[in-house]
Amino acid sequence: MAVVSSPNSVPRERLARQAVAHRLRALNEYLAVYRATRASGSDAHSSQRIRELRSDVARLRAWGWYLSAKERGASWIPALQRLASVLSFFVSVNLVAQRRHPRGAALQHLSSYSLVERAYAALEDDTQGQLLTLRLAQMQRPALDYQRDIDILDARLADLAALRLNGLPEPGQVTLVCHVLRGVMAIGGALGFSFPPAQPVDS
Amino acid sequence: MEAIKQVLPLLDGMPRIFSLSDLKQAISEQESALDVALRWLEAGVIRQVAPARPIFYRVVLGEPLTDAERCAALLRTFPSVVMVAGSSLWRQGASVQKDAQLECCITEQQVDCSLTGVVLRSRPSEWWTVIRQAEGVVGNYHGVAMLTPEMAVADAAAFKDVWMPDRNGIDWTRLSTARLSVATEALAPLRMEELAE
Repeated sequence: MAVVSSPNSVPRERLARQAVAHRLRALNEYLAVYRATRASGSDAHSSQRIRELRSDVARLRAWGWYLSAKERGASWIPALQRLASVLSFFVSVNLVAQRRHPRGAALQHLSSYSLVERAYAALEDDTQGQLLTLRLAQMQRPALDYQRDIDILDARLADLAALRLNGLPEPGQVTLVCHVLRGVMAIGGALGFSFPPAQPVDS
Repeated sequence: MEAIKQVLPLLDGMPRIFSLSDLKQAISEQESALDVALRWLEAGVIRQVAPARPIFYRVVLGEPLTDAERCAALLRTFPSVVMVAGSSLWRQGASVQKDAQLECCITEQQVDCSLTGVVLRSRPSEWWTVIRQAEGVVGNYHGVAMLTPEMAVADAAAFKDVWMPDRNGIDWTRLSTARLSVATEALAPLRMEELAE
């Protein structure tokens, strides 16, 4: 079936980057509050949560870097994709083994795939929240015309649904891309290279 | 009217605070989740916690939201939420005057909130760095982080947009002068930025 794109459609990579940026902002806000709580030494639970949030932020940043590099056609993307597709089998096997034999805190960690999928779903939910507000306003005040804004949000929602359903590679590949690029970002950052910003609330 | 009657049993099964994704899981069809939420909103049986946010609360006549429910709603809607001012002082026993409204700060500029008895204020993102560096957070109230009494007083003096008890209403014996001085000094640069704007 041919995919007909609406005039309000946004390229998939850009939409995915928006979703990642949107989720990074929320995670960084949680992180800022947990860090402030831990600084006062008043909550032992905070340290564990901070570790989880930092890991989530680092993996999501790595996915954001992958998306922006893919959008601008970076030369290393095909090599990374090949590597990911070759090695993803081993990652998938490992993920299944982890699910069968969860160990301690590993249970609380989101897989990279779930993390990214959740970021896409969060933007979809927020867009639906905006749509609800507009539709309700239109019902309550028919004299005001919100139809154009509603149409734009409807188109965006269709794009977001397509992104969540078809815009992600295999879980093993997502995991591999996130972990490889996260490592590269950590080493590159230490050597003074710059990467897409982490959008911290609390720097 | 018939349509709303059909989905009312579903509403009764929802928690008092729920998100659009909770609703999607309850009815399993994404398309209709939006329609159901819209029908409920139109009928006034649910409200959005804040405009355009996919978090809702059930409106039950004669049963206002408890503090725990309001805090849960705030935490789900605004990740950066921190309780400030007289609300923080009262809940830590540092004030004899109870707040009429739960006052909290968030990073967003848009501070509209439909929760009864809740007032939101906006703070610049550097504020979260300052309160961490000055150790200005102490514990939490139903999960919502609270400013220390000293930081609450310093923040109220710096931003002047929150409710505070009268001077005599604050139990100054519970506040450390040294910590108050540190908090005031830490917030001073943000105060300057506010004045400059």
